Amino acid sequence: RRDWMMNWQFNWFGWSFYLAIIACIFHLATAFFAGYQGMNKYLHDTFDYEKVNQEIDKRATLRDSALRNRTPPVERIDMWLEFSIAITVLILLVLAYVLRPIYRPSCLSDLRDVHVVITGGSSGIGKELAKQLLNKHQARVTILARNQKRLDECRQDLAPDNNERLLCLSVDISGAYSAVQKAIEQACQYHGNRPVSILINNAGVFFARAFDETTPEEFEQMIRINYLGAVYCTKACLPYMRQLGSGRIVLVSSQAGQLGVFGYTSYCATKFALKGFAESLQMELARDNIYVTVAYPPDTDTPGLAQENISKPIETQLINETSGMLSAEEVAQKIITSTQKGSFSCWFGINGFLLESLTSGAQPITSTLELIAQTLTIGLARMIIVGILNTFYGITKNKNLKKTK
Amino acid sequence: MLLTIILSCIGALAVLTILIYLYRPIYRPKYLDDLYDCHVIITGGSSGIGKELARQLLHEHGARVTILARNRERLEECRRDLTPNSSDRLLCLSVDISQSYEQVEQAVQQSIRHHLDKSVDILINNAAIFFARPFHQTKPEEFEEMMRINYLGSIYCTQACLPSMRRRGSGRIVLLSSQAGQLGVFGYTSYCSTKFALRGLAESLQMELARENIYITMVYPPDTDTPGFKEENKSKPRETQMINETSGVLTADVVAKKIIRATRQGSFTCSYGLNGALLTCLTCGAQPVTTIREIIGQSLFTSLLRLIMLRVINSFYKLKLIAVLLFVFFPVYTGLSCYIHSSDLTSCNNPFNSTTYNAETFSSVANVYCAKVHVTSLLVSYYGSSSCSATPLASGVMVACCQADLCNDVNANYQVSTLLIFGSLTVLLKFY
Repeated sequence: RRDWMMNWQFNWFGWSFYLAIIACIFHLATAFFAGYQGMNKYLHDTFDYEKVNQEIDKRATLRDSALRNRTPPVERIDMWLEFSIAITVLILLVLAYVLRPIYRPSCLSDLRDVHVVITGGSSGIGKELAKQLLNKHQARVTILARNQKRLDECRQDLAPDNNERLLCLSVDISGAYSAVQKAIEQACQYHGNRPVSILINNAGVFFARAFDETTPEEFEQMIRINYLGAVYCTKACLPYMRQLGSGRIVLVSSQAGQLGVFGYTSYCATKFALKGFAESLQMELARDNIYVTVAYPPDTDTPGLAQENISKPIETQLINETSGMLSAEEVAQKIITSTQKGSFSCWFGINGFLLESLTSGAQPITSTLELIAQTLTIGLARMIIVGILNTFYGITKNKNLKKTK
Repeated sequence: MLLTIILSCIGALAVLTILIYLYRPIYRPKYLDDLYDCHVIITGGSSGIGKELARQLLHEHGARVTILARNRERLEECRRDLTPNSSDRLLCLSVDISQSYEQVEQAVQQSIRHHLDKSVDILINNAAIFFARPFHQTKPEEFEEMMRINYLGSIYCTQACLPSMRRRGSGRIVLLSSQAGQLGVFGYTSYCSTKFALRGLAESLQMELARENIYITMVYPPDTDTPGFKEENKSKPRETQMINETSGVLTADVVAKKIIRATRQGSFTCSYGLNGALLTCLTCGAQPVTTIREIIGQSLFTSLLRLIMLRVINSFYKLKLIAVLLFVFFPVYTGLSCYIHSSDLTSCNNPFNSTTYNAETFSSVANVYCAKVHVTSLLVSYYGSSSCSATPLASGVMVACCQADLCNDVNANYQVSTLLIFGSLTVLLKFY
């Protein structure tokens, strides 16, 4: 129990905080002694009943006059005001120290020649991410995906001049761990023996279907690709990040990973699993300077969404109409910014902000602004979401919805 | 004057009614009074919480229970233990729920036939494995195995039981999660994700099943004294052990009793103790409510709980005694309380009203407030240490409330002495 002395670091913040605490203690101590003097005075005065009665009368007249004039005695205001200001400042200082961000990731402002691995990067959000990283940030990108044809198209699209900063590998990340390991090794060697700096787990399948119409094999396939694929890639990239001494892992979840909606029984479960994975993983990796980000994009305009819309149940369609659609470019931009900052969650729009503060639960924070925003919004957000859920349940309670297309 | 009061009362009532209508519970499950002859399927019921559940359902409620588990020997032991006279109310089937859906479906059909063609009333998804291991030491196969058994097993069982529940027109599905399914902790990378996945499943599934009168309950037990827990403790990393010490260990029968009660009520969550209730309130997120009390409590307290939880998480990340707060809180709070109460005493009117006011009364008042301040600062400094739990916070609140009526109750010595004993015991037990 004595090692707190050795472990506490005295940086400038700690010193100023400590001095402020000491100043407040001095202030309170003097006030205490003043009050104590007053107490002592009474202890002596109580032996004199005449004086006590006079005191009673004086206070009674003071009280009556105060009641009549409705103005409190002037002396007490100053004392109480000063006192309350001191206390508020003290409490805020203590809170600021106790609730400081748990870890402070350094901002990766320069992504030039940084090795980024993007899974599922041949279309949709992943492709946009690769495009922005290649063109705006001049990073070195590896794309892992299954479909060779789409990979070739993607390669032609993103690197028309045979840019050697882009490597497209065809691998099924949910198949076997050894295949993933080999692919990552190959990628690192190709990019001039650079270890992986940023891993973006974007590969995911999604479709909306009622629970009883989803076959058990589809459940298994979805959890394998969405969750186990991310786990295998993370496991394969971690040794390289440890070697480098820093790293960022991005898990692309979804707004369906924050609240459960009709028709997404399989999908919601996999995205919730990513969040649980991220929270416990971050606790293990914080001391290795590797930071996890979870992104919660809403419906994004991608080929995957177009595919999903074909077979969506009517209830899910009605529910999804309440939230808007974003373009893949905006989503990719925000994901890259959050990764550079190293914040734990990446949300989109006002809906995303409310959902994120609502489901913040036990997740870590990286800046005090996040804490303040979350604390102030949670109560209100809970009430809003219950109202919204009531609407959703109302939509789904109607069994006789005609399936019109 | 009277008119304004009446109008404001009516206005307040109107606002209250509108709010209650907007935030009415989304669905109201019927309370299952009589569990006699109810068909209950418990997966993983041959040991631990599942076995306790089976025992209570069979003996206290007279239900008809089917236990699905893998290990035949444990099933036999379990059967001999629960029904020594070979009653036909208990059926033990050996099936691996994570292998294939057809096996599970067959087992469920067999169970329905055995129990006199009664469709399934309650399904309790209890089968799970758990261990704590750092991420780099967990093999990829272990991730897959855990996801299969914990998550896919529950999916298969639920899908197999749903047709019969739909035929019957009502049903209850229980998913056993864990407090690790509410917050992510060091060493539980594989386990936390499976339990979070169960929660995502429950939220979306409830939206689909609300109109069929089938209700889902998520259970969040803390560490429970079971053979599985003992197995896990052998290989737990030190960091996880230190974190787990902040919450207690419950016995399986307490856990089982509360599960049965929550299932009968049909509430969406089932949590244990003050810690559990606070965690559930904090991580309520977008889950449905079944009573007005839940929504009011959650909206009011979640913000404060987020602040408290951040403090707790800070200590989990640092995992060293931040005893500096001990030395900051203690003098600050003591000085604070002394200042408040000294000025209160000089202005307090009540002692003057008492005709027997004298030096003795005054000194007993001083003793009272000193003792209360002492206890409060003890408790607050305990809170400031790294092993933080909600119990001292609750005591601190209690003490603060007692301090509020200091001036009015001179003979509060009994209050103070109990608080002093309680506070000192808590601190002693923690530090020695």
